[in-house]
This record gives sequence, structure tokens and C-alpha cells, in this order.
Amino acid sequence: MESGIQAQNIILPTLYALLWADYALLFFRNDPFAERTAKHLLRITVGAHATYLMMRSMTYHHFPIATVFEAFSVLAFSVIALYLIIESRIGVRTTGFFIIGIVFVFQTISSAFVEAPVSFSDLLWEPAFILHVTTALLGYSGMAISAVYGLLYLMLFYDIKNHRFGLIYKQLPSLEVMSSFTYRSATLGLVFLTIGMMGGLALLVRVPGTSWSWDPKLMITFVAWLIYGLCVAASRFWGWSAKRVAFTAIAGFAIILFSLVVVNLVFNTFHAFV
Amino acid sequence: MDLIVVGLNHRSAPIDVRELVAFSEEEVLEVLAHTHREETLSEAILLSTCNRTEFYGLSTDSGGAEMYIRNLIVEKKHVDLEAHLGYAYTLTRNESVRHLLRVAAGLDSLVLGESQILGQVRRAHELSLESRTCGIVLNRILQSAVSVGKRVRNETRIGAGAVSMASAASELASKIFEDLKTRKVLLIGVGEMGALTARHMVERGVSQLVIANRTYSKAEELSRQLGGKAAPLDRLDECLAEADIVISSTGATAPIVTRERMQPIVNGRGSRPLYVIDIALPRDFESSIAELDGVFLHDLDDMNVLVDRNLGKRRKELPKAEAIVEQELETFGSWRSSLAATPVIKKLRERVEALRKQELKRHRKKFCRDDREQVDLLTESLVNKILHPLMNHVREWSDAGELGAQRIDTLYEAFDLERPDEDSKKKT
Repeated sequence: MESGIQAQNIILPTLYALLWADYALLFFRNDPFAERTAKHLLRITVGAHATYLMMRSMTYHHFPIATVFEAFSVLAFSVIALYLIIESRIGVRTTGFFIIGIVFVFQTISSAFVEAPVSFSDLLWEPAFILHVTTALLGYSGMAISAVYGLLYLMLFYDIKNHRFGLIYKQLPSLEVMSSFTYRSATLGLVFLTIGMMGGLALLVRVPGTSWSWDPKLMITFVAWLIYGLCVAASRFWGWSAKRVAFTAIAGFAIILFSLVVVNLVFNTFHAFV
Repeated sequence: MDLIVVGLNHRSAPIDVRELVAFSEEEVLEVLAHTHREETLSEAILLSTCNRTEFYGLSTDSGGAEMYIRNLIVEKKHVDLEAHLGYAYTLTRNESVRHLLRVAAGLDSLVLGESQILGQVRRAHELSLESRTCGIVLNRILQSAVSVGKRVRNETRIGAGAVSMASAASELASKIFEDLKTRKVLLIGVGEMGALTARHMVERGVSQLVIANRTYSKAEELSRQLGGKAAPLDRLDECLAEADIVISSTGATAPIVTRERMQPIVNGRGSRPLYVIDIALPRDFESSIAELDGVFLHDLDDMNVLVDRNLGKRRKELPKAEAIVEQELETFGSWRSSLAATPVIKKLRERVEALRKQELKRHRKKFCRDDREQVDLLTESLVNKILHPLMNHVREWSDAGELGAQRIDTLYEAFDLERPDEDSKKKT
């Protein structure tokens, strides 16, 4: 099955590249061929990605987050799966180009650098741990989508304000829709991350040999959680403008990226399982 | 038999002339009934909209048909032929068919690519069917016209984007708000342009329209027409605080809403955005109001930019749309040619088959019972082989559009065939 995984490491980024190109044609040219194929290609890619993660779990006997590059792939999968749900519900495809772009980058980096882990913690097969990680990654995905929609909101906002009636103006749905996506995906992300963090704390108590520490990844994730909490609460209870919510969502996701990349590569953290 | 169109439109005639020759549906039915009785035109259709009146007729004599249509319009609308029908144009043969296809596609409309005309063409078709003036040829042309109209709209973006001030305002509003049906609109002033924009918003289903004006009675009068409610201008701040969309078109010579006046109103609105369409000249809202966070302010120039941009995009789609018209015209041409070939081929086959059967019958007794079937097959095969190259030529001429009246006449004469009009005389 290892050769299958190797093949998937080429097939998956290729599929994402094709999908991204399809959504680019849709966004830039309203191409009828892209309109017909985008929906099906998205489902095929999500299916292929799910198969890849299952193959990896079964071959290496662990939930595939032992390395940062495995985690990138799981994160890419949860973002695309959440996007699939959003697209199926609202039927708007023009924002897909931006989301799929991020997923393509994550999966390509993952496929290019991922290796079979030599040794890893037994924790990676623990159901409670899998739940902790899955919910945390779904939380990150919600926040990533929220940040993308926040960015698109701001682009459209300034285009309308400054009387620029270009491609962004033409292709994106209304500001109200964009702000609703930003808020809803931030809320979804916050809920999942909260569950993930609570699950993590429970594991900390349960698993022998682990104890509370000022772990940098944990701290940065906690800061991101606070920012998204502020974003959701301020929007709901304090009447924050959609523009401010969008800026906050982008800032929160920038911190998550920092947590995932820099902390994993630079700091010695107990959140490494190899 | 050629299609002829006599008509006038927004390009050829001013509005006061177009008004004089516009036909109501009742008048269209009356005119078509007259055409049906007179029989100068074998088929006819009358398309009358606010931008055009066009009479299409099918006739073997184009000159006579043109005079007949012109006289009919003069008679029915009591217009001076020289003074008014000098604005009219006449198109014949392929040009008239192409014209109808372009009309249905919105390529000949005042607003390029508008879709209302397709419905009007359909309605004209229905009226001609009702009057029994729509026969096989016009029916096919109208089907082609509707098909072109649909294809042009589906396969090109000629109908995309707002191209009037009022629709541009609605388009911009719908880029800010998801659903205009839950929005409150405030119209300041009762100017024509503002009223038109407000009417457009009402048609899009906005939840409430408030009209504020210095002369309260005028606000009341317009609110009755548009289905809103009136407010005096001294309650403007209150109205601005409640509205989601503001359309302003007063005749004031200086801004009536300054930034200082607007700031506390915007602060009091919380996170609710406000969209202001200032189509007054000079402007009613100070331009610096656009810098306030929750306010989107667009003036006449911004609207013009959007309209011009959309019109430019529509013009870019013209070559694609014209190509669709030409494709359909070609398809219609082939159908028309095959229509000319069909009767002569049919007659020729019938004539030869009749001769074959007649000869078989005459010599029947010369063959024994067993040979008769063989002789029947042999003669049938012989006839087919003789006719095959001729039929092929007729079809090729027909497909290439070279089966003219002279060739058809030669075939009828050479084989002593009965002409379709002789047939109908016999039946009568």
C-alpha cells in the first residue's frame, strides 16, 4: 500500500491543481465548461483525499498527524470538506477559487515533504486523542475559511467604497453574505476549537507523563481562541461592524498559521508526536 | 415567396412618430384579420412595442406587398404617408429574416441585449396564430427567432449587468444587502430620476418606502403612486437613521446633508450599513460622507461608470451574438431550400411511380403469375436507378441554394408534372 501512498502524493496535488484551475476559469471567465465540471471535480478530489488519509492511517497505524506535514494534509482535508458543505448549501462557487488555493498550497507542501514516520507516540491511536485532534483541526479549518471570507469581504468593501467595479465586484456575492460567512465559519471554528482544547486538557490529566506547561503551541492556540471568541462575541453582543469582524478573523488565522508552522519548526513542544 | 418587413423603430423615427403608428393588441388582431381576408400577403405578423412597429409579410410580389402594408398602416392609424412613413424602412429576402432574428436577440434594441423584446416577439407570434396569418414559413422563422433569442442570452453575456441609472442603483444595493425585500428605502425629493430609481427598488420588493420632500403635498402624491409613505423634510435625520438605502434627488443648490450632520446619525446606527445614492446635481450629500465607516455613497458619475462599463461589456459580446444569428439564418436557409425541393421531388416520384404501375397493369397478362413479382421488383429498381442521379442533383441544388424558380419550372415541364397551385384548384 506504500506505493499507493506515494502515487497519491502525486495524484492529490495534481487533482487540487486541476480543481484550482477549474475554479479559476469559473472566477475569471465564467467558463461554462468549468461551471459544469467544478462540482464533480470537487467531490472526486474530496473522495481521493479521504482515501489517501485512510490509506495512510492503515499503513502506518496512526492517525496522520505525527508530523507537521501530515497535519497539513489533515488540515487541508478538513478545510475542503467544510467548503464542500458550504458550497452545497449556498450554491455559490465564485469564492471557491480562494479557498481551494489555500488547500492546494497546504496539500502540495504536505505531499512534497511528508515521510513515513519512523517512530511515534502510542497516543496517536487513542480515540480520545483522535477526537481532540480532529475537533482542533476542524476548528482551525473553520477559522481559515472565516479568514478567507473576511479577506474577500474587505476586498469587496473597499471596491464598493472606492467605486471600483471590477472582477471582485462582479463575481462575489453581497457584502452581507460575505460577512455572514465570516461570522458563521468563525463561530463554527470557535466551537470546534473549544471542544478540541477541552479534550486536550482532559488528555493532559488522563495520560501519564504529561502535565501542564507553558507550551508555546498551546499558548498561541489559546490566543487564537481568545481572538475568535472576541470576534464572535463582539459581533453578536456588542454590535461590531462586519469590517472589524473581518479584520479580527484574518488576525486570528495569521496567529494559527504561526502556531502551526513556526512553533513546530522552531520550538521544542510536547505537541510533537514523532 | 419572400419575407418583407416594413417598419420603423427608435433608430429610424422620433418618439412622436412611433407613438402615432403604435398598435394595441386589439388593433393588431384587427389588422391581421384584414390581412387574412385580403390575401395579398400569404402570411403576416405585426410586432408593435414602445420602440418599434414592424409589419412582416410573406408574398411573391415584394413591391406590391410593401405598398399594401404602407397603405394598411396609413388607413388604420390615419397618418400622413409622406410625413410619417418617410421614417419607415423596408427589408426583403434574407435581410428581413436576419432583422427579425436580431430583434428577438435584443441586438436591435435601444438597450443592447434587453430581454423584454423576446416576450414581445412571442406575443406577436401568438396573435398571428390567433388570427390565422401565421403559416408554415413564418412559424419556422419565429421559432428560429425565439431560439436565437434564448441562445444569445444563454451563450453570451449580452444581457448581463445594469445598463440604466435605476437598475445600476439596484445592482449596487444588492451588492451590499443580501435581500432587498427586508430593506427600507428613503427617497429625498420628488425629482423624475429619483422617482424612477425608487420605483425600480419598489419593483425589487423593498419592505418600505418613505418619501421626504420640502413640499409635503408632492411627497404625499408620489407616495400614493409608488406605494410608500410621505414624511416632511424636517424629519430627515430620523428618516436617515431608520433607512437602509437612501436615494436623493432634490433641486437644492447646496448639500442638504453635511458630514457634521451625518456623523451622529451614523454613530447611532451601530453596525447597520447605509447605502446613499446621490443622483442630484449639485449633489445633496457632502462627498466626505463617503469616508464614514458604515456609509457607501455613490453619485451620478459612479452610476455612469457602472452603466458605461456594463454597456461596453455587452458590446464586446456582439460578435458572438451576431455569429449565433448567422448560424440560425443558415439553418433557416437550408430548411427553406429543402421546402422548395420537397414538392417537386414528391411530384416526380409520384408521376414515375404512376407510369410504372400503369405499364405493369397494361402488360400484366404477358407474364405468368410467378414472374409478375420479379417484373415488379425489376421495374422498381430500374426506375430508382434512373431517378437517383436526378434526385441527388435536385437535393444538391437545394442545399446550395441554387434550386431557383427556373430549374423548378424546367422539372415541372420536362416531366409534365402538376403544379401545387393546380392541385389546390382541382381540390376546390
